[in-house]
Amino acid sequence: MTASVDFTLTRPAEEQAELLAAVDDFAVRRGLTNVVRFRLGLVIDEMVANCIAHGACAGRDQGIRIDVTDRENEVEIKIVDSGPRFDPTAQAAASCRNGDVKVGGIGLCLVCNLSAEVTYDRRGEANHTRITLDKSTQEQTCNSTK
Amino acid sequence: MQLHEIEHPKAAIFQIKGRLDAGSTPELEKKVLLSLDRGVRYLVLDFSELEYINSAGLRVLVMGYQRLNPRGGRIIICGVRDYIAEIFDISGYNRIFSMQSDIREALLEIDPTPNGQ
Repeated sequence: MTASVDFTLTRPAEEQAELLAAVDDFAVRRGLTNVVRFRLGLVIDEMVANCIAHGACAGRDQGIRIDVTDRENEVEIKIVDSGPRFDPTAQAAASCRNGDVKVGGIGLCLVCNLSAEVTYDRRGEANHTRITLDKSTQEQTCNSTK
Repeated sequence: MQLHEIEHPKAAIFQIKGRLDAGSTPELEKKVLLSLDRGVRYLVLDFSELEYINSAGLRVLVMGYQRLNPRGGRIIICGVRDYIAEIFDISGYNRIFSMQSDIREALLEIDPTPNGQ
């Protein structure tokens, strides 16, 4: 059975910890495996942290909206923020397996590689990012598309 | 996060329980920096009870590596749970840190003959 939960952060920096606790609670209630539960929390954590770090969420009335839907075979995460254009798929280093130890950008690199798919679209004045997590595989592949 | 430091003559050993994220990382960073300032060459991090780590936590580890590596030191991470281990694999950090199964193995890496044999 499909289940969804949504969050709206108007002060992301202050609300991030509470958001992650609520996401983790959702994951536990849905009986997600430790792998998927960890990936879900980490992906949302890194996306929100990135938004905060680059000031995209700061001072914005609409802040950031996050929808999480747990389906039979995947978990879908939709993130909408009203900040300046920011395409995480363009920023993520798909080659972060090459042993080049760069600290900057590691968060998005993890998002990309832990996700089954990452898509980005700019609609109007908002960034729309859709991320799916595969519930059945452990593969670490990056299939990002714009 | 709960952080417990174990005294050892050759290493700084930290056992970390719970979540290592943006909120808790500064505490670990402070402890790590204090150890590095004391001249420690080996940093052992027991992650057997670590439930979560994000890029902020990884950055502290890399900072430690960047300071220890020039002086011939090493960061040894032990007991990492499978679902966390994959981010070390993805990032390639499993090649700059020594990954061991538990503290015993980590200490053997530092001193293969702990009884002077």
